Parts: sequence; C-alpha cells; structure tokens
Amino acid sequence: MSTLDDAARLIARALDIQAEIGPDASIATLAAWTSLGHVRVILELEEALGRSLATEEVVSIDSVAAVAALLATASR
Amino acid sequence: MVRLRFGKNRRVARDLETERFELKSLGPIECLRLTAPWRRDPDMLRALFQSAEPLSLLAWIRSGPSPDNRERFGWAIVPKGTGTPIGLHTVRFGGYRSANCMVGISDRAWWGRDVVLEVRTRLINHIFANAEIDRFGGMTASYNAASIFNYRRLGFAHVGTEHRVRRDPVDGKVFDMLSFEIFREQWQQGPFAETPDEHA
Repeated sequence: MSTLDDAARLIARALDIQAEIGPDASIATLAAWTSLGHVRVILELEEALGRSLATEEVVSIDSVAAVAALLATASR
Repeated sequence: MVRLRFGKNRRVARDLETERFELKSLGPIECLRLTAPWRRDPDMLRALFQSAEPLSLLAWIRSGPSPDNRERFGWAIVPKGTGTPIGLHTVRFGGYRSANCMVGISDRAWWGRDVVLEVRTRLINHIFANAEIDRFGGMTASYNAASIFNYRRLGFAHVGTEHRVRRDPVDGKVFDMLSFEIFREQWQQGPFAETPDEHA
C-alpha cells in the first residue's frame, strides 16, 4: 500500500467522505474540504505522525500528494 | 503628478452581496459601533490584537479598525434576511498597488461555515475590478489552520514566515506569523475570478 493511498484514506476519514479519493484530489477539487475539514485533516495527520506539525508543514497541506509527502517522513 | 485624494472612493466603498451575505460598506462611526464590543471579547482580542486584557474605548479608537473609505475600507458581514452583522472584513490599500485584508467573525454560530471564503472572494473580485490594485496580501498566525486554509483555497501563495515573532497573551506560547499573497493575473487564472460585469 502506498503513502498516496494512506493519505487518501486519511483525508477521506477526516472529511467524512465515503467514496474513494483519487491521488490528484486537493482543496480545490474536494467540496468537503472546508476550513473545518482542513482542521480535521491536520489533526488526523498529527495523530498519524504522532507529533505536532511544523509551521511549514501545516502550510504545505493542500492535497493528497502533500499529505502523502508528510506521511512518508514518518516511514523514513 | 500629485494626486489629491478627497472624499470617499465610491467605486470601492459600496454595498455588495454574496450568495449568503449582504456586505454593508461602513464609515468609521458605523465600524466603531460594530466592533467596539470586541474590545471585551477574549477570542477577538486574542486573535486580532494579541491582547488578554480588555481595551478601553480610547485604545480601540486608536488601534481598532477604522475605515476612511479612501485607502481603508470595511464591510459588515450580514446574513441575508437577518439585518444583524456577524463580523467585519477590512481591506487596506498600501505600498505599490497592493492591498491587505483582515477579517473578524464575532458570531460563533458562523465559525467553521466558510464565511471568509465567500466574503473574501467577492471583495477581491470587487477590488480588482474597481481599484488600481494588483496584489492582495495577508498575514495569519501559524496556529490558525482555518485562516491558512482560506488563503490557500483562494490561491494565495505562502511567501514568508516570521518565526517565533508573537507570544500568545493567554497561554504564553510563542508562535510564527505567515505571509500570503496573490497577484491580479494569478487570481484571474484561478477558479474564483469573476468577469468585471458579473455584479454590475
């Protein structure tokens, strides 16, 4: 299972989306990715990583790919 | 050539509307009437002024939002059909063809309902259509995930971080401030750009 899949599942869980999310999905394409949803994505990600996100990491979160990049830092 | 600026900029300082809101252009007295209660609101003081203590009316008049409707503008955000403002969005011109935005939503019932996204979209389109402004900028605290979302969703680029520049007056935590910006041509290529006559 790739980190892209993990990221898509994390975002779907945070935004309460039942359908599958594609690897290209982003804040611009997911209607459920609202400001409140954004907070939930950050909280889910911090829980998955087991640490607080740095400022630059928080700012970078805008897509499945961006979340996958952060998840990948945990597996290095 | 020196351009003298007298009176109100009527192209900019006018009432607008969005799908859910009426945006009422405010003068300084109306703005003071709307925002004066914020000087005793701990959340608003903390977010906008990094203050834990209530501000005097005089301090608020000096440091609070005060539109002159020439270079500083303010719009009350009023849900349609209610007549009751839930917050304020300001736009301030400064620097070369540049504007900065600030928003405060005082009605907690509207937090998390993407008010800022909807209102800021309308205001940026309005300003780009009616003023010689080519750049919008804004700053927010690094802990304010909702505000960061609003800038990113609208296409603003993160262009800088002032590290450890502020200290929260309530919990004492030190935090960063983030700068965002977007230029007219970037906005016009994005999904929120409206044609100039869309709201004519």
